[in-house]
Amino acid sequence: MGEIQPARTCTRIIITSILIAFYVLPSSLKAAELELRSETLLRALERDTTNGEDQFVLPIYEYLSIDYQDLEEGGVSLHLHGWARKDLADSDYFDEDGDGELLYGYLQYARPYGGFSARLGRQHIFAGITNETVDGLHMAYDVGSYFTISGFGGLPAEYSEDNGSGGDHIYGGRLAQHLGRAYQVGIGYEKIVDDTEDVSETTGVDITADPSRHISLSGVSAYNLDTEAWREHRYAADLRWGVLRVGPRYHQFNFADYFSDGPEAGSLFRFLGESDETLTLYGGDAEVALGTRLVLGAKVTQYHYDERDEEAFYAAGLLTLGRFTAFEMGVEAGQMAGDSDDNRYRLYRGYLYWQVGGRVLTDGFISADAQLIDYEAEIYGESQAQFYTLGLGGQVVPNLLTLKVAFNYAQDPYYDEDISAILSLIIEL
Amino acid sequence: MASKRFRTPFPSRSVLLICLVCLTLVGTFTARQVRGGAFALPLVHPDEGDDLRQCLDCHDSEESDFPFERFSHGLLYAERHGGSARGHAAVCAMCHQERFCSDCHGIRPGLKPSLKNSTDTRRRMPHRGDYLTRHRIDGRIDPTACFRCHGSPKRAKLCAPCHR
Ligand code: HEC
Ligand code: HEC
Ligand code: HEC
Ligand code: HEC
Ligand code: HEC
Repeated sequence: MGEIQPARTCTRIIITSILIAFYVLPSSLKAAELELRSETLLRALERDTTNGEDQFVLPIYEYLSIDYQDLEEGGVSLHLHGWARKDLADSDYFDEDGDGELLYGYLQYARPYGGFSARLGRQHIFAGITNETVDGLHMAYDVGSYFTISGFGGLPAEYSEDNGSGGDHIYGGRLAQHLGRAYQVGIGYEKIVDDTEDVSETTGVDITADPSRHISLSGVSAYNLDTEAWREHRYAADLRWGVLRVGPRYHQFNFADYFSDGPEAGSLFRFLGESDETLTLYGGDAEVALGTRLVLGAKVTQYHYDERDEEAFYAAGLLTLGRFTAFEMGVEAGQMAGDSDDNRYRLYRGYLYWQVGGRVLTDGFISADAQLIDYEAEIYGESQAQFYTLGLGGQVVPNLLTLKVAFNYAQDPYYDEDISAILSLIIEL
Repeated sequence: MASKRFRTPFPSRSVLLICLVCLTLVGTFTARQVRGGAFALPLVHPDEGDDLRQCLDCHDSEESDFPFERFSHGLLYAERHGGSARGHAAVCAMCHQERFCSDCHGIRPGLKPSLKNSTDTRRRMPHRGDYLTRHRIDGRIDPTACFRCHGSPKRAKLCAPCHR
């Protein structure tokens, strides 16, 4: 098979895109707006590092995003978002982890009400069976009102650190057929190659349907072209009667086909790909609004493993008061019940969020969270994890500068009486 | 089962490349005439000031060809938006910048979403609290969910210190 060099493919993609940009740029720069958002987070915590116990760790994070766009007319726009980190206390706590990442950075061409759109650069693609971060080009074209065809190609950003990106490439596409709100069916294809070795080659269908105000359906089935078997089937419905909503769901995964992500797959999941397990998961969620202030929710999931012949069951209930109002609070209780003691826990949570309003700060708020988890089997000699947060904040300079601070206290198998704080300063221009 | 793999006479990469080029050409020349997509949407939703999460507060689905109920952000929306986003990303983009999604779906967001947005206690976020302990059980019970967000080498780097 004639190999196309990814470098050459990329060059071609870039040239094509520059051509598009030239065609559309002049008309679209007129009313563009620049939006800048900087979120600086300072954390203070104590950790045991290789330098000794209870070392002070003082990481500062900067999350920066830039959006340059014409909100009404569209045309060409630029979107960037990334973060960087520095430990002000110079501990070696983060040595294993990198100190920054470009989460996305792309040029987009799009017009309102559909037609054609293109993105060039690093971007996350959610489209049918595809859920990947790609350094490349993604285009979608609406063929009349009934079809949309899209395609993408470039380097798989998620594999770049794995022996560099030489020989890496990713490409795929999707053809969707839709009929207004009635339904949409998509057929997709995706292939990932890392260091010239195939990571995965997948095809599949995705559907959504909204046949009436009371029913919505969503689902996806993906087929592994390497192992020649179905990776997964995931289907869910959403049924609504007045104040009640019920969402049954059904998922099925074949481990050998689902986790078989090539030679360099994270070793963490590799052993799962070697098993012949089929996991079937059924259950759903429900919510009901009682009056204007009270919302009740529930979630249940039954897990069934064919090969191991085991079961597990998760159930949770929650109650919120004043959802979407200035004073919201809620409580939640959940239980994970696996076959063995070391797969069982109970979770309890309570929270409140109070928008105190402009008394002190514009959009001022106070928030709190408490969480307690009881483990059936001890982990490192502990059977409980507790976590408490107290937060407050607001706009210090309206529409320009927001300040938030949270204090956390944790007592769990990993950390003993752990106190930490996180301060965030958001500037929006 | 002897299933034969689907093969084109060309390497599929060339096919894709040809498709991309054709798309570009057709797209650029017709972009301004064609209106379409599953739903013809504006690029941004008007900023109505109020809470936009409850679509039905302002929109009447009866008179529209848009299924507002599907997108209304109920109590558990943080856990069940996937099925709607998969096929209708343009709907989300009307109100959300991609950075909102990348807190949870980004290639390596740097902080757990519940930590980065620590004060936002009314939001439902994965991994809240001590997840190092709990993830052992969640991960054993359903590793498929973890794989979607931690499956690739770059995303699994975070896990490497303990999972070699
Ligand atoms: C506070 C009121 C309000 C809320 C809540 C709201 N919208 Fe809107 N929406 C508007 C207004 C006003 C417009 C512009 C006028 C119009 O076209 O109806 C609009 C326009 C739209 C449009 C474009 C219609 C068109 O043809 O141009 C869509 C689609 C839409 N909204 C979806 C949603 C969804 C989905 C939600 C919930 C997640 C939502 N809206 C919540 C007020 C609201
Ligand atoms: C608070 C965290 C959070 C935010 C913010 C978030 N998501 Fe999600 N998303 C999740 C979780 C949790 C899941 C379910 C994971 C699972 O079990 O598959 C999910 C699933 C999905 C899926 C399905 C993935 C698949 O392979 O089936 C899509 C698509 C998706 N989200 C898109 C989005 C988009 C688009 C946005 C931004 C508008 C967004 N999400 C914002 C947490 C989040
Ligand atoms: C009409 C505007 C609108 C549309 C359309 C919309 N959202 Fe939202 N969404 C919001 C607002 C407003 C919030 C609250 C944001 C906040 O808490 O900072 C929100 C919150 C969320 C949350 C967090 C929920 C929680 O409980 O923490 C998720 C996840 C999310 N949206 C995903 C999506 C996805 C996926 C889509 C597309 C399928 C989408 N949204 C479409 C307005 C919208
Ligand atoms: C919707 C995406 C999503 C899903 C699904 C998901 N995670 Fe995560 N997880 C994240 C993000 C985002 C982070 C923070 C990443 C970072 O720090 O860069 C994280 C962090 C973690 C951490 C580190 C926590 C800490 O306190 O340092 C662990 C452990 C973890 N995830 C395990 C899991 C397991 C096990 C599952 C499956 C049961 C899972 N995750 C499912 C998005 C996800
Ligand atoms: C601080 C160390 C640590 C980190 C970091 C960590 N894990 Fe784990 N993980 C463990 C331990 C310990 C177990 C239990 C192993 C056992 O029971 O044999 C475990 C178990 C698991 C399991 C259950 C399957 C198994 O191997 O037993 C999954 C899945 C998993 N982890 C996923 C992740 C993911 C995904 C990340 C990164 C986002 C991560 N872990 C990060 C320590 C860690």
